[in-house]
Amino acid sequence: MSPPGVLVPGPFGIDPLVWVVLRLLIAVLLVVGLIFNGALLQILMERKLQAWAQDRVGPYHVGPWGLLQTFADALKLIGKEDVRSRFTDAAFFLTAPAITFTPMVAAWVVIPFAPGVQGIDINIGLLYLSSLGAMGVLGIVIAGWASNNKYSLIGGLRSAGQLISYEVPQILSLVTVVLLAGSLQLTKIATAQPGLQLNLFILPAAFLTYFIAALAETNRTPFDLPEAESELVAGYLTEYSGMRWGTFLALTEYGNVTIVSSIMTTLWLGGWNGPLVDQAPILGVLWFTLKVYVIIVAFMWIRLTLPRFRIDQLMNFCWKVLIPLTLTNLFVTATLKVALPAPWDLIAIGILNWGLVAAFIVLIPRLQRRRLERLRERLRTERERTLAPTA
Amino acid sequence: MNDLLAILPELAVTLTAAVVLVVDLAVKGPGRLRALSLVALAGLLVAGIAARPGVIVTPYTAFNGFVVVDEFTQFFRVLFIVLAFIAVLAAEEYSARRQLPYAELIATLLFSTLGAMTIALSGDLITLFVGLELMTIPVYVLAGMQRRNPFSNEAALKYFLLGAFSTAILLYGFAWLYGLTGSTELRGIAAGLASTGLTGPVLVALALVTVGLSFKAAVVPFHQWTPDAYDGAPTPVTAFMSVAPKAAAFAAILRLVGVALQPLQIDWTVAFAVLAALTMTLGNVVALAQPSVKRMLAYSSIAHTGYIAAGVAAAQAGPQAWAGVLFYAFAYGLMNIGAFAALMVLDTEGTRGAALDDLRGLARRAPWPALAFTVLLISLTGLPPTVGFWAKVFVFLPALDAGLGWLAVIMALNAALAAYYYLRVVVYMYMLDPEGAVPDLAPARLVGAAVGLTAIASIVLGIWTDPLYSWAVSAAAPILR
Amino acid sequence: MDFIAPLIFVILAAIVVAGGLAVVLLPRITGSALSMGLSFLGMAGLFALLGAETIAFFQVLIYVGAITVLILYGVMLTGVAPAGADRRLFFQKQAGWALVPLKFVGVVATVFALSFQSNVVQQPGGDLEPLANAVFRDYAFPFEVASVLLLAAMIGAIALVKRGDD
Repeated sequence: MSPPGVLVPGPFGIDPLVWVVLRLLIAVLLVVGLIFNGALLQILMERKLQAWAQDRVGPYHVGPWGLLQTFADALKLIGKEDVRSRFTDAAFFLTAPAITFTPMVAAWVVIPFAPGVQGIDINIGLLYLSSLGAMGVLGIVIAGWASNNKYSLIGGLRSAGQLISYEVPQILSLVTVVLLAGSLQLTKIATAQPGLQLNLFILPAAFLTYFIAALAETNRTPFDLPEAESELVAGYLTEYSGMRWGTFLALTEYGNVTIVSSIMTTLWLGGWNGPLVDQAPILGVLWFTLKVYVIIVAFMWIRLTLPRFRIDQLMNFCWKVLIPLTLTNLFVTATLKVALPAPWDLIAIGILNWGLVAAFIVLIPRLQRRRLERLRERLRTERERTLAPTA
Repeated sequence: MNDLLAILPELAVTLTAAVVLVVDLAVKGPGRLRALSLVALAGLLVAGIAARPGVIVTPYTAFNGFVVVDEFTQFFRVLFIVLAFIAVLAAEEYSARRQLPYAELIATLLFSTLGAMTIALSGDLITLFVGLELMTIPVYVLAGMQRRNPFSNEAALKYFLLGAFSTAILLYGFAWLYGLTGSTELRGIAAGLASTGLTGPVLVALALVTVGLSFKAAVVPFHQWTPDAYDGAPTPVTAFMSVAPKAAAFAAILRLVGVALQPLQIDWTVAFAVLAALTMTLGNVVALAQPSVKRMLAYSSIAHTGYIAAGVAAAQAGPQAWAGVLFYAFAYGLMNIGAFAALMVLDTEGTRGAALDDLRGLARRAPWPALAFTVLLISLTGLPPTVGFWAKVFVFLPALDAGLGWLAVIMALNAALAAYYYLRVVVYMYMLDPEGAVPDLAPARLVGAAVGLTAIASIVLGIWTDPLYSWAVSAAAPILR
Repeated sequence: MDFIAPLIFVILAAIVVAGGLAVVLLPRITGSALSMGLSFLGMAGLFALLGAETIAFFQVLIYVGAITVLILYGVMLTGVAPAGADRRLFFQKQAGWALVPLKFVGVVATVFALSFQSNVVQQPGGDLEPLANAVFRDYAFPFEVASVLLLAAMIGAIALVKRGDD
């Protein structure tokens, strides 16, 4: 973070004081533009992907191949009448979308698209991103409470519980990567993975746990309980409509997805690294965006494939599976890093991490099956007990 | 690495607590409680071996001055480990009967022990404070472990509120000390105070620290939480909390007075002598009127605090005064935890502690526990040939040497007073017959072992006093440079 | 040129103070909780202004992201206190009004009497490394004891509120 009070003169002889304001304005407009376009694109992508998966065509009326469908939707949302129930808590109801939206916008400042193409390269970038991620919860809880609606309140509280719980494995997975890179600075983490020596190959278990926690943090299926239609109408979104709803759902959700995907790209996929980047640094933006969208597609794919968790399963999975797994991973990685000399520590950590991934994939279904059997057993005995006296 | 070796007993206790929790998760079935006890006892044994006397020859400073390991530390470490050992022995059957969460009880007990040990090894106000918190917060929980019992809830809440309040006062005092001297290290504070001398702010700091630690040690007039907290808490917890936190509070007082505040050369005598006299008199007088033995022991523990404080007051008499304090703390710990354990032998469903009437004719129903209880009561009274007698002698003589004749007189009078209510229990056990039908005693082998061990120890140490006393003398030496 | 840092300070300080006042004065407890979050955010800004970015973001992560949400959670689950409950607190209120000016004067007097004049030079590398060194090297022992303390408190809290074993 550049110390405040230090002013840099702008281009074209613009007065430094004016440039400060102008620079801020340009940056905000740029980010908002990115978010808007990202959301528009991603919604279209999601609808198309869903359509193909379900053997449909998807949107195709507006524009060629339905390309302009989401633009039309956005215009419709902006043009909608602003409806607010009389019994909602005005001040909180109106600020809640802003409270979730703002940290998401602020997070874009540190995302390293390419060498030099980054808002600011602070040395605690990862901490900055984590703390902003934690702030978004506040808006959701407030929205749930201010709506003065049972479904909204339950949705908000669920979301708070879910986000606070999943923040633990999320940050623990990040710390594992930070241990290897030795820095919280995003550019340093990205450049610490030259060529194909990606963290994805060395720390796949951390990637897996982070990926799952990120799904939960962005309220994506199978973790979209706060807005579970089948039980909660639309959760904390129930009372929202128009562009407030649009800000909440479309902009914030898709913006957050982009941010966690960017974090994963930087931490595990080498960031902007790719062919020819050394010759033309601007190519980095292309590689970065491609990698981000690969992850986003994976997010959508999961949404297409998996059913929703139940709330107790969600908490059990976090506290009994993810947190022990991430803690083990962190502990082992730290120990190996200290114990072994330079190239061997990476190899050992890699072997161990792949082992953890294998264990995760093999053990989870088995544990799940055993739990299910025990549950059925108990149900059977209970039924027999309740039936016995009548017989 | 050397730094880690210096805190080996603490590491052992921490690890034991963790292992207890894991074993609780892993072992199911009827043998669970016994397995937990065995793990805890084994861990404490290892810790005790690591802290045995004579391991550390020279004072060793570790972790940038936060940890000081000397003979004083070793003395208190061994004391706390022994107390935790006996408390674990005494807790199992009681917890099984009352369905207390045993693993959590043992783990929190071990954490509390760890906190007490941390106080003993602290060379810095920060360590001292963190240790104090680590000792007391688990005890708040322990006092409330019997969740469906309103008395237990009351004990926990009272102890928690007053404890938190006194902690705040103590911390405020520490903040003043730090502000005045610019150092949190005890020797740094000593150096800072040597240059400032006794000014008004120093006096404020001293008053705050004294009040805070007096709360923890239950010195009159800061004792009000004691009877209800001791009475309401589950008995094994009472046994532990009546001895370990008290001894740890005195360890903190000695470290502070002996090291950090030493250059002030304040005449502590008068303040501590008055507090001591008040404490022992009030404790004894109120104990006279108690129909419940548990409550009686609670008040008598206040009286014993007074004797220990008298030893602190006699500082002018030289090293043997503080050796007396250490010896008394050790002896009191053994006797008192044993006495509470003896109450658990006759613990039956539906009683809260023992009323005096429940003890009628105990000698016939349970001869061995009654005998052990008698020995412990005689020791608490301070009659030869028990360790309690020598403990009183070792604080009595320095008080005379320090010119506190009046305090010595009060001590003697109080000992006579105490004899009445302690020996009344013996009379009830041996000479009176039970009225009506008496419930059967639950079998209590482990508690019996705890009572027997402490009773034998108080006789053995009473006859063969010298090793403990000379150890106490050498443990007091690093404090009195 | 040099007026920007003071200006930012004034804005942040105003946010902190306004948030603190709102915590006390707002009629609804949810509003108080949210204003507390705002006040914390202002504090984080002050830390950042002093060059302690790490502490600033830990402040956001822990106080805004976790503590405020937990308090909101607690408020929503426990419901609102019945009206008129504060009449019983009348004397506490009077005592509060008496004590606040006293404390204010005391703090201001202390600050001016001691005339803080520290010349702490901002490290160019940020405060991450000094912080890590302090926590994991210089103050390692008390830090670890404190973590054991938190563990013990957590186990104790669970033991006290756990359902089903009695």
